[in-house]
Amino acid sequence: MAENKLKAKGAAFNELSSKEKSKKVIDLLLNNAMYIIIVLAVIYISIKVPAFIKLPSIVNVISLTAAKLPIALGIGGCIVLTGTDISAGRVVGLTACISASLLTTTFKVFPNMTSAPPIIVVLLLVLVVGGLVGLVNGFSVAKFKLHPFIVTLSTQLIVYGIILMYLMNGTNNGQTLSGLTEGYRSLITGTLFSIPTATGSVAVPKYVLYSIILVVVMWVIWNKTTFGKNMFAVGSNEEAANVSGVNVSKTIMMVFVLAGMMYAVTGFLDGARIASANANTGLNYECDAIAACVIGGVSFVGGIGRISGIVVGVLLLQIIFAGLNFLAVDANMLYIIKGLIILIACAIDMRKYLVKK
Amino acid sequence: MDEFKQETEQRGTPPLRGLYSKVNISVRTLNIIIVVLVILLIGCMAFGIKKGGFRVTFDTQGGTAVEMQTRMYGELLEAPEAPTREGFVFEGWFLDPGATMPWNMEEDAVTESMTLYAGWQNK
Repeated sequence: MAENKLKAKGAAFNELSSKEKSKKVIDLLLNNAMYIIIVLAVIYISIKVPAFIKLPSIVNVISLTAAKLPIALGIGGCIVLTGTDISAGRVVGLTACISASLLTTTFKVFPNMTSAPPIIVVLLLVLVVGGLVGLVNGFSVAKFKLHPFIVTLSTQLIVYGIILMYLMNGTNNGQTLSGLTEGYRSLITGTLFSIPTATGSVAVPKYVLYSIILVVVMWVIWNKTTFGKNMFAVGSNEEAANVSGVNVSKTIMMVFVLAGMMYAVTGFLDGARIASANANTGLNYECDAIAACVIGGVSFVGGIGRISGIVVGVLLLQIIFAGLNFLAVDANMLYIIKGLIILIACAIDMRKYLVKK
Repeated sequence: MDEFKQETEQRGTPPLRGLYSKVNISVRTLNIIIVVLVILLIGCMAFGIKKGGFRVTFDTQGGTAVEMQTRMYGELLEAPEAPTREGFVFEGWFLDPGATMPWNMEEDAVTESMTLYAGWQNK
């Protein structure tokens, strides 16, 4: 059946005049420009530095993708609502600091503590914290009709202040938190399974599995629940959604709360992955997440986006930057490249929308 | 008949919304913008690759200065002249300032920008 479809497409293509043919080709090239560039870059890098496509490098890219996936999944929801959330990075930092300060062997923030609380308690605690920040964001956007950019900008600064004050507590005085408990570290970064290679074996960390579970959960939420359908409806056309009986305020608040909880999970995972936490943890994480969402097809027009797109977007970004790292590109140039990628992704997104008109 | 067609075409246009509600740009301009940005991107990447190289700095922790070296991924470092320090014997280069993780000049290959620290032993 797919073959027939392809044949029909090919026949239809040949029917078009040459001018329309070239237009179609240009459309195809420009709409997928990002993917084409990345594929070409990967081919180039694999030739120059063969270590790039060897197993340790691939597992490294997959691990980094898994680490940066939950925050992108959270922000994706906000972008579908035609909003944004620039407080994401700082919330990740706050939850990482909370996790690192509680699940540690040397208690500096709470010097009166003698033993670490159960991991599940800390996880629930950070989920509540993330959800609270999300609730504040969502409430201000839904009820006071403030622009999400302004609301999340202020939340970002407030959360940063909270992080700084939290780290000054007890005997810590603003230092980096480290010395995490064995249980916490092995739960997150322990080996999921090992892949044997010629020179040993490569370990896949456990947080890859947690990320996969989160992707499945978000996919179910976005595609199979009424909440997900409401989210897309509000993103496409708020008035029409309101008229058809969708509780717009509640939907907006729930999207931001869900996003906040995803940031909290990211912080929880990152604390163990980096094995430390300080006031700079999570800085600018939202830039990568938003870029990944735009590359993956979550449009700023609102109401358009797919979970598979977000996963692909995060993966492609990580591949590019891992590759550029192998080529020893100046780390400062990476910022310029990241900015250009975001601009190109936005321009392509705009083009896809305008061409439909 | 023509009027009816025009009307359906107009109704088929989705209303401008979201971040693009005030966008008034033609598709051709966008095409040019995308192409220019892509060329800029490839230019930046090529420039970065050409000027590439991991920087390895040698922190002698109180001894005489040693110049830093630039290497590509997987290359070995050129063993620099051993630094000298009053009252101490040079032990070798280490990955940490506490001199606990040694760096093998003949075997260890460069995989990222880093600093190597000199290890000293009291005479």
